[in-house]
Amino acid sequence: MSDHTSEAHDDHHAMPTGLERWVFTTNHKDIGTLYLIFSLVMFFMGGSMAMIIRAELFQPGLQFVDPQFFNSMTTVHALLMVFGAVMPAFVGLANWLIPMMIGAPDMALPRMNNWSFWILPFAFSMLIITLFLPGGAPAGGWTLYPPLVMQTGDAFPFMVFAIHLMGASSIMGSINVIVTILNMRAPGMTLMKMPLFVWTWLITAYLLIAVMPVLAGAVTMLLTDRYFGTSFFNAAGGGDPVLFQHVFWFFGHPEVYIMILPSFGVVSQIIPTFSRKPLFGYSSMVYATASIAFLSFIVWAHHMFTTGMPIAGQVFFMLATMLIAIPTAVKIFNWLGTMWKGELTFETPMLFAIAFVLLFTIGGFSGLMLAIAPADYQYHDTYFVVAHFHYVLVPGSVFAIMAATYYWLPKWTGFYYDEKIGKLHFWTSAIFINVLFFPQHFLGLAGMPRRIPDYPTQFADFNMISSIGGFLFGASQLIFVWAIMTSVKGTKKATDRVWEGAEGLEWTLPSPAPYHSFETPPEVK
Amino acid sequence: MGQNKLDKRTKRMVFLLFLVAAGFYIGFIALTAVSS
Repeated sequence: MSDHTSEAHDDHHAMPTGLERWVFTTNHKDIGTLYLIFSLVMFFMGGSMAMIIRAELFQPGLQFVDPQFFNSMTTVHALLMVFGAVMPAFVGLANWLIPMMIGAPDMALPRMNNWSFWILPFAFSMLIITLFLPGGAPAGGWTLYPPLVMQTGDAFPFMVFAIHLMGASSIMGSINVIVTILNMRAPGMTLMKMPLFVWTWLITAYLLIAVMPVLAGAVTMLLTDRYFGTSFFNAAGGGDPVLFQHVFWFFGHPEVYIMILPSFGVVSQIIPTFSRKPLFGYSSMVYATASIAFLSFIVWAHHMFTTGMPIAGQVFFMLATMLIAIPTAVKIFNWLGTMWKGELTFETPMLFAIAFVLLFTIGGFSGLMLAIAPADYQYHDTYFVVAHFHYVLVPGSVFAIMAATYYWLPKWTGFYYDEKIGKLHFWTSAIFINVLFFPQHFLGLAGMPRRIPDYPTQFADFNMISSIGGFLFGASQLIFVWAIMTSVKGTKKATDRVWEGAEGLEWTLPSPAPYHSFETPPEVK
Repeated sequence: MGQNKLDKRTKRMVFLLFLVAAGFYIGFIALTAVSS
């Protein structure tokens, strides 16, 4: 082993070029970039489906698509956005940032990392191709409830296997994140010195390992019910379709936190930087994140109040759900406390982070309303629910991803983006997202059901406003690509620290971050 | 860097985490089977 000198390993250090670089890469930065580009492509594909939905709902009556295709659009839009856009975007950020933030040279399992990513294009091709199969794409909603989902045509096994592949990718990605964080921190980087983004991802990774197999199990049972004569959810064979809902939501509710906890981490990095103050209440942020993760496992049946449940069950799930407001409020308080008397500046990442705090809170409050069991009987399956979870996921998760992109982009490319274009993107997005989703609260309260292509004329005005907001929000995202390109093809060289108030190991590296970083671990004091 | 072998601690951790995932997969199918 005497030839194991650094010179002997120069071949590992060279950066391959061309297609080979991207297909065979084991470099965390390359894989992070692949994830982020993939997620952007899925965001636009899922977004174009949302445009079809909003075009159909622009006026009452059937305008452009038949109802079956409309239902496929709502289903595939959700699957693409949840599993194709939001989750891979956070895995991309984790890949880029976790090793740099903890002073590690790469992820712990680089080859598995490559595999985790390259499974995804195949999984989503399998899902998207169902649009062209006999019977059309899945149309039973992303929740895949039987017996409705059993009406899916030839797309059914494609959908199931696509979900299996997405799950395998997520589980491998999570194992990689956990092993990297627990084994590869630089000397002196204790757990309670880790940046909040790393903490939130560590907890998210445990959530993923616990719940993605549950979803995989649920769809496996659907598969065997359909093709192998089992009756897990088939009442005629002694099974119980409501049981599927329990299994699905045991996955589905933690899934919501899988999409929001890393957002909390991103916002907890950005707000201190632009407030020029350390994060207020670091340790309470960590404990709040862990509490939210724990509570996410014991609230699933609040999605099912109307299925019929003993009163004691309703009360338990109602109160457990409301409890989540406490650690969440701790976080909101801490972000406000960080900004309090700070020397604030409002660059694009900070604007997105502040919008996140404000608008995510609206989604949180409507969530509290939905948690009240008797009130939920009225809200259930209406547009109020659609408004609620879109406030959580779009100005929540998606805005956090955009904030993160603007914040770390100069570190990735070595050039600043054009701040004017970034701000244009922010203001158009922040205004039109509210035009798009706020009226949907009123539609839901007035009784408009979700997942319908047509509606009575009483809902016409708010639907028209919502659709206009949707089209303009969709168009605004083209500005996002424009802003990214101003950094990729940039002219204004970024400094190493990039932002005046930025703290953390990633900012000690040059901009752009070198292909291999922290080969010698830094000492953290 | 440049090493192809994983250390024992990493191997054990990966194995255990995969085991947990497999446990949730099989456990929930088994739980559903006995409940339905």
